[in-house]
This record gives sequence, C-alpha cells and structure tokens, in this order.
Amino acid sequence: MIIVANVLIGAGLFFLAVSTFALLIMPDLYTRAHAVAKSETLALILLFGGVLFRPELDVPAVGRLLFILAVSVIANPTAVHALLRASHRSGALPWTVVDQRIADAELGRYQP
Amino acid sequence: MSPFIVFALLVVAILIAVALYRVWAGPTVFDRLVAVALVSVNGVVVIVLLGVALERPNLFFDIALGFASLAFLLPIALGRYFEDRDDGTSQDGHPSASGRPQPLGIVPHGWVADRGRRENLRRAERSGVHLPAPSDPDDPGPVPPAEGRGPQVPLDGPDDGEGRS
Repeated sequence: MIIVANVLIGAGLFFLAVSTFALLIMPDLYTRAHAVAKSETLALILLFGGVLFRPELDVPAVGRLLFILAVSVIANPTAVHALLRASHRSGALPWTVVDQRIADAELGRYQP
Repeated sequence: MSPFIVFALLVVAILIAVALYRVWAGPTVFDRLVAVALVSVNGVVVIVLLGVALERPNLFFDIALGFASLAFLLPIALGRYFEDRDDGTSQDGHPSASGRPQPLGIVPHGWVADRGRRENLRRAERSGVHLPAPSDPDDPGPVPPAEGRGPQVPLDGPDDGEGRS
C-alpha cells in the first residue's frame, strides 16, 4: 500500500517539475501557461491520489483531501484561463513562426 | 515521519525556488501571475505533505483548503484588475492600469502586455530579418528603416480589407 502511495507521489513530483521547467523554457505567456496549467493539474491528481494511500490518514482526512482535490482541479485551470483572457484582451499576441525567426536571428542562427 | 515524504518536501521547495525566477523575470504582469499561481499550488502541496509528515492530517488539510481557495481568488482578481484594453478601459469599463493617463501608476505601461507586432517589427529591423508578406508574390525585400519614424508596413502585409468577410 505504501509502495503505491510513494509511486504516485513520485509521479506527481515529476509532473510538478515538468510544469516548473516549462515555466522557464517556453518562449511566451501562452505556451508557458498551456504547459503549466495542464501538468500542474495532473500533478495534483497524482500527488493527492498518492497521499490518499498513506497510512497516516483516517476517514475524515480522506474526505478533506478529496474536497481539496475537487476544489483545486476546478480552480487552477479556471484561474489560468482568466489570466490568459485578460492578457489576450490587453493586446498581447501569441508566439508565432515569425517570432521564432526573429529570436533565431538575434542568436545568430537564422539564415535568410 | 517517513523519509520519502521529507524528500518530496525538499523537491517541492526546490521547485518553488525555480518558479520564483519567473516571478522575478517577468516580463509582463501576467507572466508573473501565472508563476505565482504555480507557486501557490506548490504551497498547497507543501501543506498537505507536511500534514502527512507530522501525522496531523486533519489540521493541515483544513489549512490547505483555505490556502487553495485564496490561491484561486488571487489570479482571477488581479487578472481582471490588470486587464488593459486598447481604449484604456478594463473589462468593467473602468480606467485600467495603462489607460493613459495611468490612474493608479503602480505598474509601468509595458509591464501589462507587450503589444506584440510593433515590438516584433522593431526587433526585426534591429536584427535585419526579412519578413515576407504572405500574400505578395514578388516581395520587394527588406523594408529599409524609416527615418525618425515608426515602422511603415504591418507584419502581415498591407491591410487592403480583402480576405475578411
């Protein structure tokens, strides 16, 4: 039982690391938030699912944890969506091929 | 206190430190807010794992529930607050953060949103990239930089009103 819990917690940590490093390496807000919102939601499901199998939890704690999981899974993508909608209405445009070309040229990697 | 939970807590602490780089680097307010949302999710994870590690799950899960609810409200409220339409109003029609003149003055103009195309044209002129117009078969080549004025040609060709129904 505790093996299952630790494996699930480890998988959740992996996806949390994926979302954090996507925050560093993606080129603009929209790609970044795309990667972050999805993988952090999956990481929460895996992590809390793993914590459910820990022997420290009793029945009320399991109920509370499931409630936190429901709130978080609904709330996190909603919050990121609200941020992206505000950014889009503020006039920020998504990353395109042209932006990639300009970035490559600034790094000296673009051959016209 | 199982050693695996302590290891997981250390990993999440490192991830919070890494995500705080994006809060520091920006470049816009919304970048920072997305990073703050991720940091607060990591904070909820830290509280839940602490409850397991200290064997007081009921106490810590209540705290985590309150923290998760507040972390949900913060990006939504601040996203609506920093929203900045072209006419200088926010979603509710009130003057927004950039809105010329800036009513609150706490956020510099470029921090809200870099208005993509103009900035891209400036960067393209600076780095000498040839940006072909997609609907132009005989493209005249790179646009020479205008003297003392902004860029003359939009990035996707002159807007002749066609192609939109």
